Amino acid sequence: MRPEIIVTLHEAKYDLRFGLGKDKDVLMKKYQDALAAAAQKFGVMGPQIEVAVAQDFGLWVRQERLPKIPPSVNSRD
Amino acid sequence: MVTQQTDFPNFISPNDWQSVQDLIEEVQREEQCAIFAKTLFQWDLAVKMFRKVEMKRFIIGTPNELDFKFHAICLGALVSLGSALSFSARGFAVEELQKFNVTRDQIEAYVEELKQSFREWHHGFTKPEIKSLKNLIFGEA
Repeated sequence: MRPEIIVTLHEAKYDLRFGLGKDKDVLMKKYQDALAAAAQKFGVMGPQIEVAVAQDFGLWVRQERLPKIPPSVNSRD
Repeated sequence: MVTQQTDFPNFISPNDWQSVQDLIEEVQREEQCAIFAKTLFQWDLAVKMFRKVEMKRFIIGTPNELDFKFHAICLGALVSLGSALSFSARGFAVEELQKFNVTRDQIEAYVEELKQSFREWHHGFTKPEIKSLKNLIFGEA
């Protein structure tokens, strides 16, 4: 069972990874906030959360049927 | 024929030389900007290509030992180059960076994102530690 706080973290990571470069600093802040919230909830450090949910991110991308290679990755925007 | 100092037109003053020096500095500055922009553009392109392969091999697929090796090597190189660009960016005015549609904060965030990827896949946690963390988060058996 995937906790909602991890879903929020995955969403933030997807936006950070594949969002347009113009807002990268804003998206990074959003990701860091989501990571800090998850770390606080589970009483561990941020890097521990990152390692634990790394594989689940791919599963979530497939489950949500998100574009596997979003157009922004192929562009030079 | 030896040029005599008196051959120079008398209308050249120290101010004229200053103007030439200013122009040379401006050209040099533009050259620095062009080199920076070119490197930034190529780095950005390399990061995007890296993400594309990472998505295919790590996110959608199951990475093998060779994937892990190249992933770490590429990330290390991209972080190193990105850090150098981030440092170089400090030498440019905000207005100069705006010409390339980028800010220092954005470059730093870009580098931090690469470091984040490195932490995810190339860490020092043992398998039992990861299993314990997954149990905590996902309630896995």
